[in-house]
Amino acid sequence: MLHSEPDCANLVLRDGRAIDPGRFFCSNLVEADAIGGRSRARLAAAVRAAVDRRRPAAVFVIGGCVAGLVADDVARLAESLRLPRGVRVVALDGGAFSGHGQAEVIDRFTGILAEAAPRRARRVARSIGLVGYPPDGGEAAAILRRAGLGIRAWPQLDSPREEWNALPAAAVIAVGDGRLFGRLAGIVAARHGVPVLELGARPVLAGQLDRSLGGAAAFRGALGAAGHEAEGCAVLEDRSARELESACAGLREGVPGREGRPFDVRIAPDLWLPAAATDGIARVELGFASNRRRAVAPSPFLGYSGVLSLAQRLLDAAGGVH
Amino acid sequence: MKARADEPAGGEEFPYGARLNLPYLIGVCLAVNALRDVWLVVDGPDCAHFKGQFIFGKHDWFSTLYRVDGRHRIVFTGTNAQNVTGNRDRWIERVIRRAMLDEAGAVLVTSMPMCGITGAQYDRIIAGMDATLPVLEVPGHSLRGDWLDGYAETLAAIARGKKLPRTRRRKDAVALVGYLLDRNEGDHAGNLVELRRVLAGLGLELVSVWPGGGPWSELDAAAAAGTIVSLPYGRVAARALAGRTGARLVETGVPLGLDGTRRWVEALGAACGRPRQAERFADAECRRIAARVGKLVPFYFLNRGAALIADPHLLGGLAGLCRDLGMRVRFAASVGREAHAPEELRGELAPGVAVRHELPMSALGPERLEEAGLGEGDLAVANAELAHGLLRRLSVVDFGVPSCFHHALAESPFLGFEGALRRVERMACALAWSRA
Repeated sequence: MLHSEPDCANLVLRDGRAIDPGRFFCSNLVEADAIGGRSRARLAAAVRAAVDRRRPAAVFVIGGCVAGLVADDVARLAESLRLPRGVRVVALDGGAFSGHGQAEVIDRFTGILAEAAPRRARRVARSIGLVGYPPDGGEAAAILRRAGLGIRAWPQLDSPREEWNALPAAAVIAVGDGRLFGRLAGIVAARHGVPVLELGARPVLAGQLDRSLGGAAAFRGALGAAGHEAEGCAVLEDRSARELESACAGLREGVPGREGRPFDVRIAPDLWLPAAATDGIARVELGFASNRRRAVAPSPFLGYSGVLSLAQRLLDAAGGVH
Repeated sequence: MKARADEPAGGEEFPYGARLNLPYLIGVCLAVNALRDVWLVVDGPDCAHFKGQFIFGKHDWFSTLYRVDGRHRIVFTGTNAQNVTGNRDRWIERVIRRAMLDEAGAVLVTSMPMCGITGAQYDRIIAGMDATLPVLEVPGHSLRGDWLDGYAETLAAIARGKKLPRTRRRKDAVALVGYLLDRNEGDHAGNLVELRRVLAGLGLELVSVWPGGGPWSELDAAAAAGTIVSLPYGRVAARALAGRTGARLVETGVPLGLDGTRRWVEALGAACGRPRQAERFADAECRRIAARVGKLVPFYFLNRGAALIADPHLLGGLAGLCRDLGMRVRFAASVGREAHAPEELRGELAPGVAVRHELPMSALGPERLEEAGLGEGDLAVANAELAHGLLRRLSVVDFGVPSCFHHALAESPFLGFEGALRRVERMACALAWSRA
């Protein structure tokens, strides 16, 4: 339930490619609601109507810009609603307008799913639950199998409840990003006593997952002199595309003999790639959102096969063939 | 579903999903899209771009709202929770100045609702800028208006604020004000060719269309018009312009369908002192169309049911066309607020069929169509958002905003007499597919 006005929500809800319109609602605030102090009543009615209509297990309420500006206390309102037994309401005040990003939304959402899992789960020895790893064409399963481990659960955000319910049955849970799944990790650890490891999901040549299995050292050894760690490389976080461009422009000026090209390839999501089309720098589209490159055939970027596949893409990009 | 005591009125059925109606800023963006060198500054966060992207490349393949060189015609101020309540005047002025590119003819300024609530005075900022280009404010009414309001407010702001050249009005020159040019494709190019032809049939010359897809400077030609024809998407703009130039004002509907076009021609003929010429022209055109369409009627159209979902100014013309073809209109819904509905939509559009206003999208499911007596072999005219769902049951003509599945590369009007012929062609083809 988006607590917002039609100019905002009408378009978000219309994007049928991304969401199921049958499960997404909006309080559709108008001026009389927002200025006249009726917005909370409108939200309460909207949540009740959505619950009556769909009987969901949980309602996730996100406040939009106008709700934030008129200081609607969405969280308190959600707590005060009397809804049928078993229906949870979880609220996120202010939504994106108040600086919450995808991370907090995902954190809260997966937290609800973890909390709703049955308390009694039969633990399966030498099994692992994976959270935050995209499907990889079987690579992770193969790596884990070599280490004598099986995958007990591997839910995605749109997986059915059973897949999430199976998580506490794993002997250990690996999360790709502690910031995204911190709440889930805490709930699973506290309620079910399952250890949670943050293993990362970076598509590096020898990732965290198989580093723990001893594969990385052998790989580096085989690379010999070619393998080296990044030096003098700072990680910029949470920057706009314009800020990134500006940082790159600074790099161009500071690298003599590189003919204005501080690096040879950009590996980035779609958002940052269009501007690179004119500067002659090779491009590899990777990450969210990846709008132009599509994978029709299995082409992992994780694990050992992922190494090969990514190397192939880098090679193609550098050679200008696609 | 029984309404609760604390449930505010929000239209019929379930008012908490996506609405059939489109939001205000879409209308503003459509008007900017129809003026090829006008830039729009939206005071608000980056979601302002969703509105432009709803049009660019989706509804309009030839839209120039976004450009590969980054000089997008929709610019946002990036207002957020931290700075919205502070004094942002200087920042807004800077963003407006950035939009004042050499190639820009004018800059319009509007706001997202949360910025509008703070009472930012854009007119004062603009007045203090000493701008080298025309900069006009379009009021941000997202919380009370819909897309038709946004479009009309934009045209009204232009009509009030645009400098017009001093020129002599010509008696036979006509300007169309309030034309809904929702995309820069062949359907609208064809419409303008057809309307020019129809006006020429009355001995009138079309000198300006507001907006007509051209640059800002092209609007100047309206100053020479002896008659301003006010179309329903810009009534206030037409009145304001006629008030400024002293031109004769003729308020008409949209010339859609045979009956709608005939009424339009006759209204113009009467207002411009040439009623007999208008009658003769309309008779000849109707005979020409009837000779082409007549033989199709019993095979494709007679007694077929029709669902019409379109903006309120097109519904009457579409219903008239269906009647002419022997079809039975069984369901009609307006993509616009009820307040926009012209007189002809106040009663029944067809026997037993009242137009539904402010419907949620969820109210247009298969069960609703069945209730209305529509089924396999019947026709729906609807925009692309509904077309997918309706296609499972009916033959569909994708029409209106947005129209994502039907695009017009060549001239293919839907207004005027020629437009009626093309409309019949598309309807017949859609029905023929369902029989194939």
